[in-house]
Amino acid sequence: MSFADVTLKLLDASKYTLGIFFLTLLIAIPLGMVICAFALSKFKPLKYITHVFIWIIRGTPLMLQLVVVFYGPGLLFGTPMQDRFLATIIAFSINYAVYFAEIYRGGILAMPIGQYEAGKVLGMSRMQVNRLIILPQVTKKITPAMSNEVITLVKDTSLANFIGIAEIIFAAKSIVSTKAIIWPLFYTGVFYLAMVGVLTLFFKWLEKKMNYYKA
Amino acid sequence: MAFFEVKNVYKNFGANRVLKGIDLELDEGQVLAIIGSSGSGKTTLLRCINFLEIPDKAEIYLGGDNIFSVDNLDKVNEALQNADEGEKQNSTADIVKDDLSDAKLDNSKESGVDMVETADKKTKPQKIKPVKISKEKKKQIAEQRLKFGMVFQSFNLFPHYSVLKNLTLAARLKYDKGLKPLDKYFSKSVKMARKQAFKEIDERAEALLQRVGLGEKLKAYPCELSGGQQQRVAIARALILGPEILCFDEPTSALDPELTREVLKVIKDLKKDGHTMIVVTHEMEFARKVADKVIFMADGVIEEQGAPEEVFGNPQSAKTKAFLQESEKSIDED
Repeated sequence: MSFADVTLKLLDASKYTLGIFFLTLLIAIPLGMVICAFALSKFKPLKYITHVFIWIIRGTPLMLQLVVVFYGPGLLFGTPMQDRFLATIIAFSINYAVYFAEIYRGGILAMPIGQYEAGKVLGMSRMQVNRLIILPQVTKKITPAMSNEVITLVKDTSLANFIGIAEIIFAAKSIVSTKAIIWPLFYTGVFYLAMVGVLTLFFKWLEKKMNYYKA
Repeated sequence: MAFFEVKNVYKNFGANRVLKGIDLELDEGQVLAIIGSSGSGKTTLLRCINFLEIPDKAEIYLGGDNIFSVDNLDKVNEALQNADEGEKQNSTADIVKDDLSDAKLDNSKESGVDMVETADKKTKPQKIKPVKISKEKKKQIAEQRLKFGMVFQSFNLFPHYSVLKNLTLAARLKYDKGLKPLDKYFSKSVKMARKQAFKEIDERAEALLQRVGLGEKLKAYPCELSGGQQQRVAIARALILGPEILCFDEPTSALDPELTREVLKVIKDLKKDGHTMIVVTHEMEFARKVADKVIFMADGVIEEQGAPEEVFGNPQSAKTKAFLQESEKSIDED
């Protein structure tokens, strides 16, 4: 199998990698906000349940969560999960939403109380303060931590091969096992490096763009 | 009746009695300086006046109207008592506490009471459930809050907005609040009026910035300004909604002497413009020269009050004397 053939195969498999990546971000970023709001809730039961949930998700391997989401419904309720890709997106979204939630929470807790009070004495509602004062500043504060997590996500997509998603590692492995050549597995690194490279540039740009003020 | 009157202000933080019955009054256009050592309750008093803290008990009058009253003191005392019982303290502690609340209501200031108080504080648990503020009170607060402007020790400018936007933001939001929802997007006449109103807000903000000597810094961000300039922006921001009373919480404590001077000069200018102001300060010189009235606070009560000449020149209470001597001393040491 030629270099070009392998490249084409891996490029084709990239659509799953990118699919998992973008869909997970699309769901996990807002879902993380909800989880973060629950974790900061003044209603104690909700807060404690959320913290237990965060503990479970952060305390177990993502690979295990994939298995649970994919096989769990069938074993528990007799309604097998039909769609491997859907299971992947669900597991990834929940896992990453929890990590994002903790990053958001850190950013919110780092906001000085004076910012809330300044908004309050100017007659702004809690919602207005959150939206116009807190959110923009938290966004800037958490960008470095978020970029770290997003880059990790690129590489974590490879875990989806465990339940049979034909992403890059899966494709390389199948070439390795059918054609008896090992180098395509090493070659996958180039694809991940390329994606992470683009992300790194993007976050550099974003940080620079938000650097118009210091706080 | 004076222009601004506050009566019977009590505030507890948990078991900690911070304000124990404060009354004060102020005429329009006057400057009130509140002095006292750290922990005397002067900042808490200011924060109770502009509703950053909800007092346990208070009556606030502005321009002859009762703008806010609250009395949760019974509930607070009850909570304190329950906490006491929860601790299974012997009955003498309760008696001591009862004595204390009586003493408090009489507003008497015997040094013995203070000693009991400190001993009391140590034995009591700090965790006491705060009294719930009713919806009605919260609404009242939201309505009355804008009558007070507030300038903080740490400026608290919005770092992600330009100087101009720091000023205009709240004024614009206030204007939008008066509009029907969505009208600002769809109704042409509303859109026109809004544009005009925003232009006027911008002009007002510019005028205020000019008043504090920062007319050329409209487009700057707070991080590009010195501490003194930031505080002057904060003063202008506090004035944008036209408050009746401007409150300052140690406005110069984070500034070096030179920057302190420029901020104090602005406050002096505002006095000339006829603004009524309450200033919590450690600047004795400023209190002496600019204030019309000085209040010296100690341990949650007003220890002494009067014209600056009286309080500084001829203090009656021993505590005031000691405090003033102490502050003189530090100046000599410099």
